[in-house]
Amino acid sequence: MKPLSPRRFALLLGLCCLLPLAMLIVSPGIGTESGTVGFLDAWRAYFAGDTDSTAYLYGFELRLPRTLLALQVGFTLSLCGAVFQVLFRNPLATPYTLGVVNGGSLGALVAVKFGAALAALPLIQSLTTATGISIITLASFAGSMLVVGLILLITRGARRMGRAELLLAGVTMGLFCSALMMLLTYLSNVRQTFNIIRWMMGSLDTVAGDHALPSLALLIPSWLILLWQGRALNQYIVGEDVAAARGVSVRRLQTICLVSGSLATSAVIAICGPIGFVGLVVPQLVALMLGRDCRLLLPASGLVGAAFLAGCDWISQLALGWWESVTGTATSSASLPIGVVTALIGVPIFLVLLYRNATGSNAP
Amino acid sequence: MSGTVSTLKANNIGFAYSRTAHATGCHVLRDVSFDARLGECWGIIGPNGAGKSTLLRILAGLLQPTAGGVSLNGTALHRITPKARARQLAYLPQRFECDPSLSAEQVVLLGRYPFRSLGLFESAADYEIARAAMQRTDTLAFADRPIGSLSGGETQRVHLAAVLAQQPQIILLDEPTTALDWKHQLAIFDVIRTSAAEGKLVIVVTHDLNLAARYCDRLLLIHAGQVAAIGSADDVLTPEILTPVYNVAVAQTDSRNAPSMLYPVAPTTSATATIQNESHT
Repeated sequence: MKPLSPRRFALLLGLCCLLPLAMLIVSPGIGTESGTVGFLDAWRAYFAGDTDSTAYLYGFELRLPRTLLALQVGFTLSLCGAVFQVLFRNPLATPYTLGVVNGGSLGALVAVKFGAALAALPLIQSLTTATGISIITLASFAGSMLVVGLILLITRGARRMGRAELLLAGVTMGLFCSALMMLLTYLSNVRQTFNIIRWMMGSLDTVAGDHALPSLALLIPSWLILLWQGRALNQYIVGEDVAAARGVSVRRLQTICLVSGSLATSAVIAICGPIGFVGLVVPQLVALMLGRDCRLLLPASGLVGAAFLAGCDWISQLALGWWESVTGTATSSASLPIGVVTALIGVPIFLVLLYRNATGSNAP
Repeated sequence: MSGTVSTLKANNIGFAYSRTAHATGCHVLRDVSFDARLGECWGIIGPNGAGKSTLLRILAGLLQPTAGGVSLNGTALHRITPKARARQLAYLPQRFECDPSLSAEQVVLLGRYPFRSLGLFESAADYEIARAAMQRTDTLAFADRPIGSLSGGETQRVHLAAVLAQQPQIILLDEPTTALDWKHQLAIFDVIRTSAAEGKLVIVVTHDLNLAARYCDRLLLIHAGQVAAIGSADDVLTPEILTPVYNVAVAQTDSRNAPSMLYPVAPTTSATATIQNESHT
């Protein structure tokens, strides 16, 4: 692999940018009800300024915002995955490594079970009315942040954060939250159990416009901070001691990455639930294709992850329609859970790449 | 701190890994002092676990000593910002966790990090410096190959090139020749010698006493965290000094035609005892 020249960087990143951009342009034409409103219908309505038409409604008030949300979520999960894999020097590390998901799920479950009681509290009442964020989203975000905060607090005293300790702390906290969830689920009624299981599957079905903006206020700073660490993370690849000897403040780098990564991931989970495999698979796919220079790896992972999740979301919306037209039977739901689609598509792609890499036909 | 450095001074350095260790007197290092100047090549020698690597990490600013301190030209090391320090001082650890897919040239270019405060990319000058460093270490031939595909000797020379690319005044190397064959050992020490001749200070931790004798101007013998001897090779590398430190009987060849060589004789405590008894009687 040649060193990264500005030319190569601009070219590859430009190509990666084209993916989500193209998807955004196509997005008003793709989604549920694509039989009635197509790509041309939607754009025609847009340029005619016909904002009351069904075509405009579907294209620009449902599909485009939903794809925008998918792009944001995919970008965040994949970028954080890339950062965490470098930081933990572990290919299995994901944005969920520090127990963010379990904390978020526990928070959501608490909100599902005790929602009515919580909503009556004056503080929460004013929060939900002021921001327009649902109580489940709020509780999930609080749960994630609580877990991450605890883990950072536990490992704070160490001179340098041991990677193994952090991983273990994250996994253990995750298991603890899972146990609490099982307890709460056991005590819940059927309806609450159903709601929480649906939440755990992850979904972009939220009314996009409601959540997209407040989350972006949190996401964009996190993205910028993480992308800025590319050069320091490159030093980290050679080893913590070498990085430190070359002037990288290792402890500060670790803290910045862990905090901004977890914050961004918590924000995303709170809106969409846990969506798996994007953060695990996409950064490794990008690393296999473009190399491990973090200056390129981080933004490219984010962009490819964004396109990947938006694509998976389209499939999740269209798959049931295809199923209906093949079998002739109607299904009760509008779309498949997004987490199922990302796994079903991401895992085979990844296994093929891993196989090609292991057999040497695509040696780095 | 931007001017050139002329001295590296260690003042009564002490180190313990924890407060309890400190309280119980369980020190890794105690009262280590020396005064090194540019243009010299220093060898830090001593048995396993004597504290050599810890000392080198303290000199590199990676560990804070629990007593005493290190100063560059009179300025305490911990008062210099990490990046400014990295422009003066480079450190090569014993082991690497380097990603095997990086190319040799990429690894060497990473050494230019302290010199770019903004800017995402290496300048033409950075490439020039990296190439020169690879020329010096004879690694240009495999600049494009992934580091994971190189032999131990080649990998070590690539990492040494990265150190040179950092253009430091002071070079700290932790056992750079361990696990290398003779040819590669000599190649590394030749680079070390040339750097010292160019006016840099090189401090190298090594287990090879004969190479140290041949290439280093000054030797620092560490035993159980303390300075056992300090001085030129002739002063330090004598069987009388080495035997109690290494707990091995040491002998020295005596030939008019070749440099004298040290070699271990018997790894027993009785051997030490014998020699000490002989000296008493």
